[in-house]
Amino acid sequence: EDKPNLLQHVRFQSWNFENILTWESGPDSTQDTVYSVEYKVYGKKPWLAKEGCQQITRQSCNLTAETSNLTELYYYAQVTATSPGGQTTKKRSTRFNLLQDTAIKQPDVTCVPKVSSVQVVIHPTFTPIRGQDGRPQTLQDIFQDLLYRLQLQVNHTYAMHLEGKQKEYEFFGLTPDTEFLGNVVIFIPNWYKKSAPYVCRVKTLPDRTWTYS
Amino acid sequence: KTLRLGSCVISTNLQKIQSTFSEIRDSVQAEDRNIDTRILSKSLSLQDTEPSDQCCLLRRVLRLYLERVFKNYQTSDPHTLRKISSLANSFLTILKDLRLCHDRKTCHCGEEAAEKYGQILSHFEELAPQAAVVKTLGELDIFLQWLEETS
Repeated sequence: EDKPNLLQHVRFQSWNFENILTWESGPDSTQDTVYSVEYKVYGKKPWLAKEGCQQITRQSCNLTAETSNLTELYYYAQVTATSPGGQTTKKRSTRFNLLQDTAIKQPDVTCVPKVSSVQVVIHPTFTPIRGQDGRPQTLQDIFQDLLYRLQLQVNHTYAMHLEGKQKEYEFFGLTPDTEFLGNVVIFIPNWYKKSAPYVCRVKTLPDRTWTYS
Repeated sequence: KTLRLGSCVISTNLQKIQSTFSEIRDSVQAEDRNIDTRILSKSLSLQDTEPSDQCCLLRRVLRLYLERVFKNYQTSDPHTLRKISSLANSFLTILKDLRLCHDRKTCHCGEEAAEKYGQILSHFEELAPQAAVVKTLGELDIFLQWLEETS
């Protein structure tokens, strides 16, 4: 008897350790096909049913809470699709490696214009992962080699670059009352991770010192 | 990248190895039918081993990969074969560097190294030969994570 294909492309999509399982309907599925999700730690026996993702019609399930243990690191998930007629298709994800497979979102940044400089303040990025003390971990807590790369485009041919692990930077020696384009990227060399850039367009303040003399 | 294994310190290009393996990771791991067990279990990890025994444990696991995994992995896919050959060369380089530590008496094989490697080997030998090869190759990202954490 031909097995129905009610389901395809079961995979984890992860940003800053927000781990979402997604899948697509198969050629044989209909609006009334329902889906149930299970997950497990690689190397351990039980498949565990994910509460809140049983007999659902949507095609995604948030498995962040279930897959956020930095000492386990390797997970699987699987989805069972059931047609109204009771036929089923079960498909498994690839092995999800928590550290390797999470992508990095753009940083949270504030650009502060001054008269002849632009200050850049990078705010910590908290993740759903908790440390042994129960405190939410930042990306920097998890990836020790994390660093920031900053660029300020001064004109068509010249850009200033700064790089480091600290949270505050300043580009000096700029022309007052002039617009600049800055961007900040998170870079994690050990895991070749690079975030999308945060871009800020900022204008230095007018120099009013001359008006009073 | 510098690996600190007790008083044995070597450098290696972990990024290149990780990048090479990531190209074949999903296909190799998909061949592993038995995901209820794990050969490189957490309790046997390199980073949780006495520093003085880390070098010896590393040498033995490297040899396991070279002599029983890379050599016996069966595939007709040329791309995969090229990647495995590149991994084997990288592992040979690390093993050569560790030999220097052995010659300088900084690669001591103590009880813990023997005990942990013994468990890894018994996990390996509990499986059918080809299943063991596939699972161990699929766990290379676990092994690289161990190396990452000793750097």
